[in-house]
Amino acid sequence: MALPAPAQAQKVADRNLAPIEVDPAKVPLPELGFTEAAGDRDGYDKYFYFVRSETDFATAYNDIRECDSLTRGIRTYLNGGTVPYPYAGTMAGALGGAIGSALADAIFGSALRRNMRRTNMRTCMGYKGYSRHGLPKELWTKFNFEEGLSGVAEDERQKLLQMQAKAAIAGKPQTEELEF
Amino acid sequence: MRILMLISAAAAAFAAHAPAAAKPASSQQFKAGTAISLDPAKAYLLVRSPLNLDVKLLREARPDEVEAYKAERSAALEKARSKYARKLAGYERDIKAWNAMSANARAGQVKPERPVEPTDDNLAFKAIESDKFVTLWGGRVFDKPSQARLIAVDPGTYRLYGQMIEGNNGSMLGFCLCMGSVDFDAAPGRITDLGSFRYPLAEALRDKVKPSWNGLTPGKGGLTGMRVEPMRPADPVPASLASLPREAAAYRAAGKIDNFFGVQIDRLTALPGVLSYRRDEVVDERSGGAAAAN
Repeated sequence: MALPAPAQAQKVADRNLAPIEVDPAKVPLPELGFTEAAGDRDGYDKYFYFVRSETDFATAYNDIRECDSLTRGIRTYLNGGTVPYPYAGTMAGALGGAIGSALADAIFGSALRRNMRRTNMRTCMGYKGYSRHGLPKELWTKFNFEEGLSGVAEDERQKLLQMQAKAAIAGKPQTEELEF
Repeated sequence: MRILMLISAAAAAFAAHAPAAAKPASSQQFKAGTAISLDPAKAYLLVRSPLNLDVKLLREARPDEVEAYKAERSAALEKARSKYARKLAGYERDIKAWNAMSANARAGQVKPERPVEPTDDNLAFKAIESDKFVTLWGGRVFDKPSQARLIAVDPGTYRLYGQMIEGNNGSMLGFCLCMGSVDFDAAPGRITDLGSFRYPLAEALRDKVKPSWNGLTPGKGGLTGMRVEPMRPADPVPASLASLPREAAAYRAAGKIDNFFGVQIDRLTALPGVLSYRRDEVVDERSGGAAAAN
């Protein structure tokens, strides 16, 4: 079996996400401080955010966008340059995935889709080395969204993802690190 | 409505651009007791597994298929542009009439919308991978004592894409190994022995134990939903295949890939000497470098 050419072995996984220039100073830092009330912990499976130290805003935002894109089933990665994939950030480029998602929506329902999104974000951000911390629902809803049968408008989605990136670099909280 | 639009768009894309030159991946999985004689034009994959779970393999497009795909896509773009030109002419006629209308006449009417010009950037067209998937049916066991499955496929390079069940309505449930996996070459006229596919989490659930393997645990412990045990000389081989040419799959690290089916995402458990991870970066253990995204 032939070894891959050295150039190929060294090629880095490029993302197919169109760059979005953001001034981090203009992105509001969401409220993350709270006193844990009875019952809050019951919601941590759903309501959480990610944190990683020594990470800048652009890196965190790109990481969150990559995970968001991957769980939506849209074109996320380049294909080694062999095939044109100029579908940055659109559903059109991943018909297979989009159809799979749409049918799954219709068949399994919104709750399963929402749960899958949560699981995928946890998995993806976990592999990226982010820790996960719980929040009360009322704080969480101010910079997050759930995605089941109905989607989130792209502009609104990016605003929320940017706030999540801001939270991710805000420093390690005192709250307990949750399971992966 | 969104679902219908997506399905319609997909159906149109697939039907209108039915490839003349593209070759969808084909496969034939053998039932127990089937007499096997190797077709020199086919590659044969042998794998053992303790669970009857379906696995998706993705064949890498060959250079001729890439060229055919590009040609198909160019033709589709050309067709979309022709269609756009007709729509644009209609729009210009309609907007002229709209502009000439009084405010009263416009009441209840919808202002004509300028059509979107199709470009290389926004063309809705199938992914080249769409017809390159092969399903290895977990329930179709070729040899019960060894728990082996045998499937004939087109020769080529295959990626272990994920474990998922396909419903008869096109739905998909399971996980992709989108954040890191392995690929291997399947040579014609011989059996490529993939060793064993193992499912640490599902197996632990079946055995009612906490999942762990080789010191690894789920989550940050490094154990994931699927792992590969490359072929070992002592692995059992179906008696009917014992005299046929067979070689161990030479696994290579495979980088990230898209979640084509919109399923859960995961990655293959690290495979010593082949595949490891630096956070989410997929590392080719043989070179120490990052593995390319597919």
